[in-house]
Amino acid sequence: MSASRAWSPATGYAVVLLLPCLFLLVFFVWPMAAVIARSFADQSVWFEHYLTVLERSSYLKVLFYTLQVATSVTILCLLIAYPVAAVVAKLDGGWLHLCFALILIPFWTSTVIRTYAWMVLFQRKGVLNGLLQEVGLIEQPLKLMHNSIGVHIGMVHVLLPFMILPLVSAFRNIDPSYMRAAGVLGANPLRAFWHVYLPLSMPGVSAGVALVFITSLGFFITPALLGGERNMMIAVLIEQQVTVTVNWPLASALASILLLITAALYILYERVSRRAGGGGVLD
Amino acid sequence: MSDRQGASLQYVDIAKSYGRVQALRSTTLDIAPGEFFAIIGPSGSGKTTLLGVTAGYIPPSGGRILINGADVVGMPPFRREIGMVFQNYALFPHMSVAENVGFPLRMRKLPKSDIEARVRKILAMVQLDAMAERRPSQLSGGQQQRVALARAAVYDPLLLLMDEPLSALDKNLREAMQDEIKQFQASFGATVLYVTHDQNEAAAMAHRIAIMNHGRIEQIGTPKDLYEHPTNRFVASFLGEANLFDVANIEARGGEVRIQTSDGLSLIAASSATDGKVCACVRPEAIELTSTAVDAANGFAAQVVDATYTAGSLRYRIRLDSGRIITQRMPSARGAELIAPGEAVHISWRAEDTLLVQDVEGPS
Amino acid sequence: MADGGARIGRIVLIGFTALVLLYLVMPTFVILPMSFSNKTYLSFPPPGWSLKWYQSLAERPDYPLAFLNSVKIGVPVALLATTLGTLAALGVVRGRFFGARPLSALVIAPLMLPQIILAIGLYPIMARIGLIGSYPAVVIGHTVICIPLVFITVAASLKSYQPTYELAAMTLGANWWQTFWHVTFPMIRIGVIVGAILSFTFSFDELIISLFLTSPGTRTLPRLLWEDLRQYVTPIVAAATTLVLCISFFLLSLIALIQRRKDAS
Repeated sequence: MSASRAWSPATGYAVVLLLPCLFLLVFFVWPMAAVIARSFADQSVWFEHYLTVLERSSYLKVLFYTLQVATSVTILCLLIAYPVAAVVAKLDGGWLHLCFALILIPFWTSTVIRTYAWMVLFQRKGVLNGLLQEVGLIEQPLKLMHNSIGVHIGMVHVLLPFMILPLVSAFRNIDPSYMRAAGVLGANPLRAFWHVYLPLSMPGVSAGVALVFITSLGFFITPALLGGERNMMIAVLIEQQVTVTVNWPLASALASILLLITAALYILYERVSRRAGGGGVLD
Repeated sequence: MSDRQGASLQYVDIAKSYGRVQALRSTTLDIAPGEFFAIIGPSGSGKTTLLGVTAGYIPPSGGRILINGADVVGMPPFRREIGMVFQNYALFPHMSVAENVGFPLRMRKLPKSDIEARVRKILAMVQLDAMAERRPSQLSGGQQQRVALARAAVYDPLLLLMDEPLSALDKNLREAMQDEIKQFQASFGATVLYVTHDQNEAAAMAHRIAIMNHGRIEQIGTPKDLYEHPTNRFVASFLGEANLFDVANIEARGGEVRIQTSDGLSLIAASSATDGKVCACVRPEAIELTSTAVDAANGFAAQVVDATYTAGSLRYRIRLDSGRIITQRMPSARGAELIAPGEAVHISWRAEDTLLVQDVEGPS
Repeated sequence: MADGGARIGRIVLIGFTALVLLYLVMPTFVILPMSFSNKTYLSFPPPGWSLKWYQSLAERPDYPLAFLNSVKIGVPVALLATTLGTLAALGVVRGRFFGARPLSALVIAPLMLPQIILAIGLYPIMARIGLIGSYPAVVIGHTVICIPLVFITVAASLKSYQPTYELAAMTLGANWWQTFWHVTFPMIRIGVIVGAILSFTFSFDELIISLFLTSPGTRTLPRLLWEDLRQYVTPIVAAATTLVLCISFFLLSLIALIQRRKDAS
């Protein structure tokens, strides 16, 4: 009366993985592979489209602009989120719940809606300009849309929770006795912060930085609505190549480049955070 | 006493390796129906692996397990008709005590009225009928332990496995529970395989004990057998205390065995039943402590190093002239005075009490 | 002296934090009064109040249709993603095999990688299968991205307790399904429900995949908003977004309530 000799709970549970893996293989891995494949299609030289990307300065500009925006947005988010997270991490009970609500509400509001809100605020005849003109701070309406400033403000707004939440989580894990010990050992608050708090917060910082940077690279909605022709980000360019120019192979090449950069950054982050002793995103 | 017969349990060359690590070496063992069989050993000795393989959630690398003659290897746990009590009880937190105990009966699709009756009966047996509607988190450790026992036994399994069920309890509660479990087993008639790291617990409860080390069974026997006739150095030192001497030279002459230890002592033993490399072992209780020399096979002048009073016995550590320290124990009589450290004494023991055991610590 | 400095520093910090939090929620709250404006152009504060934009919403055929589509898509997505995500979490957390880590990475990847890539990848495939523009196409697309959400929440639930409960159930006679239903599921139920709600919310708000995989007949609310936004910005969009905000807010509060009940017990 014996079934397979290898019966064990672990194998049984592993079997259960087949269905989701099959689904993801067909509807995730295959499409991604198809995109990469299509970037090599249709031409005499297999990397023709990639050459096009590298040669045409407009495409290169988009690539670099994307990297630049991602960097500046990440830095801005970090600078803003760090003090906020430090304050929120020390709260408890009602205040903590309130702050979390304030952080999470925009987080789960549709990005379209949030970007629309900024459009409302930023338009030439929009709310912000109207207010500032009424109060007399400015004469002419500020140009806040269809340029880099609008894109930055909008993206920081969307991505700030992605930075605040990992930081708060990391800060709450820092044992307050470390700072107390530093004080007892003679460090003033500034030095205690620099030598003790800051290094201990690094795992949270790297998690937030990685998350925000990688997400910024592939951002579509906000740059599409708030940006202009002259400051396109790569996701907007890809969409344009598909819907307007209908140049699928080129769009695929651009998408493959984006995929490569994102995947490489993700793997790099996992390696670095694992080496530094913390867990990866998956732990 | 129950007239039900528990299952017979046989292991034939059962083994388990994880990659290069052999958690369980090829083991053969026979357990009689209705026997209370304990397995003791240090952590990593393979006792928990043996239990897991028997329960069915660890697949063995080879060998057979026969429950009532039928090989169950490859059969999932839910078809083996065994009961198991886990170390942390694993009581389902989202079910009440009654639901926990009734769980195995529900899984076997018994009619509801049957389930209620049997649950009530067994809860009364462990004196927990008042707690039937409580959640496990509302119970004390000892109560949780009894629920776990009731749950594992409610469907009359022929084989009960227990993985260190009392290790989370404090000493007094543990001893009370030991009696309870023993009585429980006697009235149910099941065969019990009991894993513990506490040798006193095993000795108090089991008919036979197996000592495991590094994945292999070192020795099997009754508590008395194991203590008075250990087969090797590991068993001798694992159970109770032992004074161990490395043997440099051994000579059997005219009915007695003369031993030269590696630190220069001469000992007399009664017989050398074991061959191969041996070491000598003398139990602390076998040593007599006197103020002057007496006529005995083994005797040495010595000096008390320290004296300890524990509940029920006195323990002395004594230094011989050669520098070697010996441990001695005697029951404490009421009003007895401890011998002060530094006092000169004489220790002695009979030839029969010099045990010769294989000098093996573990597999090479 | 030093104390005074610390106090000022503390006040500055807290003030800064309050400002930032305001910055986070303010824009969405600007939309609310906008939707009640009685003029066509946007201005703040609105010159007058009226409900006419909500009226237009109800009268125009495209907005209610888009809303219905979003629900018709969101519910199957929640169900499908929850099922597949829970299976994946069970397999990765309770199973033992090579490559648990790369497999987790694969399951989470759809959330981590830019959705535009998945969108342009799925489009030709759906076209080839003949599903393009239909409900199944966008349900599948959204499910791919929502599986990681469920996976993360359910995996966290599974890791919060020892696998001995499931082993105990099996030794007590419960087979695979019985063990899952009577022991595992009650213990991960919160994670599953939260994952389901998150999936619905995500699908409801999702734009990029919907842009590529829906047709005018199956157009979702975010896609309709997007199209309207590209052309002209009237308060009707404000009214629509206010409604969506209320729904998202309601769902979020639901999750918060569930979490609170779980923490209390």
